[in-house]
Amino acid sequence: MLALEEVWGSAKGRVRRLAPQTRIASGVLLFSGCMVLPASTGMGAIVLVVASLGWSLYCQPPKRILRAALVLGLMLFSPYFLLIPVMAEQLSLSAFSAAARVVAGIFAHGMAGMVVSITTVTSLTVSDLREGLLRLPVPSLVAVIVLQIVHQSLVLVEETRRIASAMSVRGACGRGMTAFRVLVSLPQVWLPRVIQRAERVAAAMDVRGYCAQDLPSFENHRVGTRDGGVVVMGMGFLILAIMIRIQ
Amino acid sequence: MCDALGYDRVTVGFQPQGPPVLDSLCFQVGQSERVALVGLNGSGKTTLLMATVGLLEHQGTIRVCGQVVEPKSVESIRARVGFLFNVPEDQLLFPKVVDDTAFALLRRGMSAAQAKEKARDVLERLGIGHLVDHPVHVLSHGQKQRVALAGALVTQPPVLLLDEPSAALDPRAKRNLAQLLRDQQAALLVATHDLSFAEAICTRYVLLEGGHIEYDGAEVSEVRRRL
Repeated sequence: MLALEEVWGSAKGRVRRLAPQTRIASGVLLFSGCMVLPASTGMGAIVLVVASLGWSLYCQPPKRILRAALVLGLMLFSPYFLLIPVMAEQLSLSAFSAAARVVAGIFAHGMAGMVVSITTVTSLTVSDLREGLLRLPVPSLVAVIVLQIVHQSLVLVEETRRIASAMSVRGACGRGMTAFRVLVSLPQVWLPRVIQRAERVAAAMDVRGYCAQDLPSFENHRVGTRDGGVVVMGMGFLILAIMIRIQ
Repeated sequence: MCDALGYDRVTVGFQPQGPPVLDSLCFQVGQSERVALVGLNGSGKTTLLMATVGLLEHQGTIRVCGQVVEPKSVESIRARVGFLFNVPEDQLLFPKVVDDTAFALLRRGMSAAQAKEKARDVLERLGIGHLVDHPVHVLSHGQKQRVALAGALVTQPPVLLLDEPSAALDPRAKRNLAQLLRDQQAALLVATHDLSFAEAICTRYVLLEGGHIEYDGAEVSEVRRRL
């Protein structure tokens, strides 16, 4: 099974030479462009596929992570095809094909968004994310919240593993009513724990002055012409996507 | 010279109708004095530490380095206090060990390079120098405990409030920590169940029971007898 911490910073491509803020900005521009593109047109679909593939090649995420992203995308977005009969207003081929085009558009946007966002995440370590967010024009409070969500989710994943181990040791992986009882009681144990943890973390953030002023930076990343070039390409892609959409 | 910590009729209660967790506590901790706060589970040790840094509302007066703990002063008080929570991973707010330890120094305006250097030094003294670049979430409980301690010690604050600092440590780490704490110039208030650890560091023991001070003195044997 794929662990969350394996995803962050696992890419091996040239993208790692860019400053963290460039990686985040490029990922956001590319994601926005993919969402703007009209995926139900031939031109839009081709540009969508090329952009997602190009970004994946540039970042080079591990194959198993890319595969997991695709599988997750398929699981999330392929059920939309079941809606085609509901969406088709008449029992005619043209109505079905119109509905299929809409669903295909949703599917293509979803898959491209999934690939681009997960690939972008693989290009950043959690420390890179912090350094990048601090240098982008993101409100400080938003940056602080995003960073804590990411950091605490890694901690919670670790805790989930511990709970899973405890469950298996205590025989909760059995069958029948035992397993059912444990499954039902799990949220009742889990949720108060998460809430209490959130309160304790908030107290620690207060005491350590985490929110008292802007977060400090730990690294000094130089922004070069390569960074400028990649951002310009990202902006160019977004403009192209808007033009295709307007046409 | 004022006391490092002063508690004057401090009362803390969580329920308005119920009995208070701490009831009219009065005691002082002098500069560089090392005091163990001992007591059974639920005797109010953690509550007292939390109230000291303004995390819990209280009645009475708490002073830290002469400054009264009240909403307008908590920020400057917290800057003078090194605090260790009893669940260390809750206070680790950065993904990398060295970043978490260096954070307090950067907040005080130190350059990133200097802060990291100093953080490495403290981590080394706590016996976890090899973990500087590790992600915090993969560490063991004892290692997290020491990283959290490093974050509290790195600024050399005048007051250290430590909640169960030896709870997850192996015997060698405990000995090292005791030595490190003995070397500190700071006033120490250590909430602990571990009397042998307290004995290795502290010169005075405050025993809490039912929200009151049951014993306040230098005899650890007296604390053992009463616990």
